[in-house]
Amino acid sequence: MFRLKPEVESWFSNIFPKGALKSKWDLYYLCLMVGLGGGRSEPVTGERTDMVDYFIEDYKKSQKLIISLFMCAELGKFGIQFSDRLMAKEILDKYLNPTNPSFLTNNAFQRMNEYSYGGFLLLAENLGKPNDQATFLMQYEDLLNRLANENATWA
Amino acid sequence: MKITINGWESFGLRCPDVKVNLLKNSTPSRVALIQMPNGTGKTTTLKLIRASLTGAAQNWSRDEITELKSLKNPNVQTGKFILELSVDEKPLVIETIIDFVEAKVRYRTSSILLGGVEDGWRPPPNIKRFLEEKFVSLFIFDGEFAADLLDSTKTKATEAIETLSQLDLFDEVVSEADFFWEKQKRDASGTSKPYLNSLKEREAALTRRLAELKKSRETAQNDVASFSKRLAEVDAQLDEKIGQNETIRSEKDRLSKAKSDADAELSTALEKYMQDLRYPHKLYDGFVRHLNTFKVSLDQAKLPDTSSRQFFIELCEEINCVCGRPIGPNEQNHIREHAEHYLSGDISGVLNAIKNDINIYANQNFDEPLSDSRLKLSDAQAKFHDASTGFSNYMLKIKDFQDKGYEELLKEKAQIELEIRSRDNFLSFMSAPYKSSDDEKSSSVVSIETQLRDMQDRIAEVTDTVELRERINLLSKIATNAKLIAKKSLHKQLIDECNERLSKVLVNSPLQIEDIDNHIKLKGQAGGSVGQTLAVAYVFLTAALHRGSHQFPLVVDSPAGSLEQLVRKEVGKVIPELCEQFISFIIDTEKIGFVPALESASNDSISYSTIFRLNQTSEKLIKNVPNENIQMNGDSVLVTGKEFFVQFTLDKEE
Repeated sequence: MFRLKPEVESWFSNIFPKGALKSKWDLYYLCLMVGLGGGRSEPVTGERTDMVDYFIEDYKKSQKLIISLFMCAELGKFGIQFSDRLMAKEILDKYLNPTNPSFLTNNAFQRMNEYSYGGFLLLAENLGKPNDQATFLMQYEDLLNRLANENATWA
Repeated sequence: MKITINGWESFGLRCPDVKVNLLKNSTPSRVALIQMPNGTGKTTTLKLIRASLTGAAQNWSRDEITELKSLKNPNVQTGKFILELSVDEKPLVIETIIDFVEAKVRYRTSSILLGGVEDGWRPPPNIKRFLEEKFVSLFIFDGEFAADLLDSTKTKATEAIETLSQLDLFDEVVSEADFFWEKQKRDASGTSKPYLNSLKEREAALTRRLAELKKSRETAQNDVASFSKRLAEVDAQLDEKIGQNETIRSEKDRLSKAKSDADAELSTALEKYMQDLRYPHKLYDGFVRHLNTFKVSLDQAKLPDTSSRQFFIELCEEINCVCGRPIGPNEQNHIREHAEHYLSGDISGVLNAIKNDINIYANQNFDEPLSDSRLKLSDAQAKFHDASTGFSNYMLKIKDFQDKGYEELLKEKAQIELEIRSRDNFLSFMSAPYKSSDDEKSSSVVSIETQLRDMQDRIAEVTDTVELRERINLLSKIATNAKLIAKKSLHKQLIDECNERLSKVLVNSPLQIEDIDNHIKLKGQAGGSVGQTLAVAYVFLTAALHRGSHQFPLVVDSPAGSLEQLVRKEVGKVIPELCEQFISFIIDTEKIGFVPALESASNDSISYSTIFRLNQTSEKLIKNVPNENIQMNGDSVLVTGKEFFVQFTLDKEE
């Protein structure tokens, strides 16, 4: 299940839900990409909102790319080479579940939620509470690029 | 549960000394109309009915008590008001005894269970929860309460629903559970006392801080609501003033259109940019590189396999291998072991799909890269900014055109916007996420809540109540979520129900409820006229009262005063359908339209009473009234019956 902490919605409250940010999935995705880019994951404890266990229509086309990036981040974090067949198989078994519409296992959900929350904390630490969608999204792109460039996984 | 008012009796008070009986063949009429001219003591009677039900008179001040004293007999030492009720068909009598000398009020209550009369305000425990001030004001209400339901700065509408549906029981579950845990903590043994005490002190400090912050947050939110309401009024006044000058109005309209066009362009650009952001490969170059590397690595590792794990597992069941050689136990074990090195067929399918998508998306030359949509967004944002500034500058430039009041309004608008911004900033700080460097002085509600939860977890650990704490957390979460879900669903049902009724009640000026978010929000307008407000309040309250499994009387002062005739008729038709007992204090000018509609909808279960003071004019009125219909006590007169009720008019009064 994709999960969001209530403080995420609260932080975005001036620009969500309206305009281009329509669903909680948008918030989840924006935070997830920063978490993956910046290489930060944080445990999701305490109060949280259960969203859905699938990629909503807006993200259907990028579903497999998001999953691939998630696995790249995990491999980078643990210094694993995917060309090592046995290791690769282990990771694939751990994170891929073809029977779930999201193609993800519970382990993958948990780790992605952690990246998303870690990404949210990076956003909150680097940007002020957003008041304007256009300004925020452009600042967001810049921040993501900066963090990813500083992260050995992607650089 | 069913509560009805059977009647009341009063003497020595500002209202007339009368005994009002609402029973007809031992059953209260569905509709009881009490006609009392202005100045006869309607407000006092309602106040005493309310105080009898809530027990609130015990806290009245000397001034409040003195105000109730009979004007005709200022030397009176004691006044009494006796309210007769039925609770589930059993009689309950509450006496309010007012000592004007000592300026004290005391109660006496009949006991349903034991019989006899007891000193004090002692209604049966099972109805006490319905006799709280906030509950009683829902079924004994006035025009002010009706207006509050639609006031964006007040929360009466939500409170009404929560109270009537008893959603606060969910809060009680949470607080009971917390109370139980507190007790378990106190009883816990085997822990170092000083350490536990220090944790508890910190927990208490965090709890206090959280309460303080929540209070400040509520104040700031209320301020924002009040300021926003005033801002809308100021904007409307500014528009009205501008509308009076043709040249200014047309230039303002031109600039306003330019602003709204720029806004639409900005929305389109924003939508496109966000659409692009949803593709991670457009978001950051490094992602594309790594996606390709990922695909190459999979190729190098020969993943997915050309054969699946399932193929080898099935092969073990065969007698001969595909190459024709026999498969014995050794071969079977060997194949099984190595089968684990292959992926299942399903995962292979997913992996192929992943590689395919990387091929499609990560290697294409984008028709429109993210930089393009960003540029368009940036341009649209600048255009909107220019249009917006142009509009604001024009509004400032025309500040002193012919009208001095205009400048004053502009100043007020600027001040209000400043106030709203400052509250918004404050609220932003309050929702900042928790940082590890935060302590109990943090100004963030989120941070304090997180710290408090951590502290409770630590206390649970040291008191060995971890499991209990977890269960309590789960229970609290379930209760909180259940309340939210129930509230949402109730709001939706009530809105649908009210809108259906409103379309019948307000035929000529259709008005619909858009949302119930603390207050009743009307579709497409900030508020209604006094009459519309009252009509919406009736429809809302009767629908809300009707929904619960309990039945209460609906007592209303001046029910039709501000309603237009047609609306009166419609409201009059609806009310008897929606409540078991409707008691209305009415003046003669309200009767037209309203009373005939009530009568026809009441199925003949209607009673008429007229209460007034005796004087030279009114004395003539009662000459031909049969004795059995008149009750006289000093200068107080009560006449029962429809004929007198209908004929009694203000011009015949004193």
